[in-house]
Amino acid sequence: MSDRTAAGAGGAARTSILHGAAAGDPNSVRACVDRFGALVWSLARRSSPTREDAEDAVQEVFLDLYRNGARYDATVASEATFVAMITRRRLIDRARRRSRRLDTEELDTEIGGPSANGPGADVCAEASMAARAIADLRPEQREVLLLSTVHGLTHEEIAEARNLPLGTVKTHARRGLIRLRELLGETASEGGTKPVAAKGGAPS
Amino acid sequence: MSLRDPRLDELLAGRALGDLDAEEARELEKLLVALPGGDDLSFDLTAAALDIATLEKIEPMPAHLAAKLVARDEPRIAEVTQLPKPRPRPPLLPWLAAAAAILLALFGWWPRLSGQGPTPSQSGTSTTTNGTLAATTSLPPCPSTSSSAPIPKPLAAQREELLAKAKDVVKIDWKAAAKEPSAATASGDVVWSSTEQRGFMRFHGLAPNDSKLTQYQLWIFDQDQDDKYPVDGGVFDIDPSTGDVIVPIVAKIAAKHPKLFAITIEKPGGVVVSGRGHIVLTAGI
Repeated sequence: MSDRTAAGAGGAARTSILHGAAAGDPNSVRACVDRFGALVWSLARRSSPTREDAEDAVQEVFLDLYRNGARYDATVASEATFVAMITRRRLIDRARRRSRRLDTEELDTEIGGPSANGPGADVCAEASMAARAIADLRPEQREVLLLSTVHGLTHEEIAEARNLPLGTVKTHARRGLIRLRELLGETASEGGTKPVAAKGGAPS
Repeated sequence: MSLRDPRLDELLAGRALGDLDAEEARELEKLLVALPGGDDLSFDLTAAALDIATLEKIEPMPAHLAAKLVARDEPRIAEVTQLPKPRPRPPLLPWLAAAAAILLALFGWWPRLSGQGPTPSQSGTSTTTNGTLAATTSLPPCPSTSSSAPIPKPLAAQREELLAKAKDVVKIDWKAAAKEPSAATASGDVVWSSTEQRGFMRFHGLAPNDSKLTQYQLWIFDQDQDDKYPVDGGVFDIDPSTGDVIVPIVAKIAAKHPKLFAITIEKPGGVVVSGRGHIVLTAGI
């Protein structure tokens, strides 16, 4: 990635769009919006009850990115991963706030449902790898994680829909995520991926 | 890693999923204080990878919103300097490299969204008539080794290519469910390659659906999976004006050893778990 300058393993400064945006560089801010806008917007749309709510969420996410961009470390994750993580946290926070107030808003009809405009025939090998890791989860773990992630259901909603105790749903979700983390690690160890982040001599 | 406190992992997973209660949050805080190298974001990043891997549609941010984000930057600059410095990180975990590779590969095309090409949000349907790829059917493309956006081949050509090149490709004819009016005159086939993790469905004579009321949904039953949880192959529509239709198969999760493909009629957008009350077509291997 041209926007990342990998440095040695000693934690030397690295330049990135996120660092530039955090420092207030207008070009980096613009690049940040150009590059990550679609990701943040799409994640926000999936998790937000209305388009307006998604727009608000996106603005909060970018403020978070500008405030926290200096924390980004290229040896730990790609910028996209970091951005998705910041987005996720903000969206969770907003969902919590929503659940605390009486919600009288009408929901968009398309919320939560899978789209006909899926990735089409262009299923990337790399995406398939991630999908395989998800497929290797125990069915109950996979189902809970996908219901939560793709369909945006809360654990309470999943418990109700699946007639499971809330604690069981929580356990499935947490253990599923723990297993997913292990599986991604195994995939990398088997040489199934190019360790992009290790280019700069990062410790393995 | 084996020496890690399993409780810590559980709480970190809970934090990443956003399901910690107040007591657990306090417990995690205490455990993190004692964690060498500071906070562990690996679960948060795994959850972020899951988020991206399961995104079914990437759409460009509305232009007015992007403009607002850039324009509002100036007054913000002054307030961004008092951040704590990053804490030293533990050594790079292999899985993080994997997640980074996946995500970089998935989203290496982002900058092209601002180019001239068609955008996913303009896509009307993932099906094509007579194998001709509609001009607006541009879905998140695979990363290209070149800097230019890949030009997808028509689905008919992609299907033929898969048939010719994939060593494990299978081709199975559809069978209409008994007494199913939607499929009374339906025929066609499924082409699938497990190594490629892709395939195509061809339909002829399948009844058109009103996408506001119902959609067709594909399910893939895999030998490795419990039959209670078939792989969701995505939803599609049959337009009234179409004749033969080719639909790419988009499995939400990998189907390593499919044994049966089934089409059901579901509510718009599809369902997570089908009631299987309305099976239209099947194709068994």
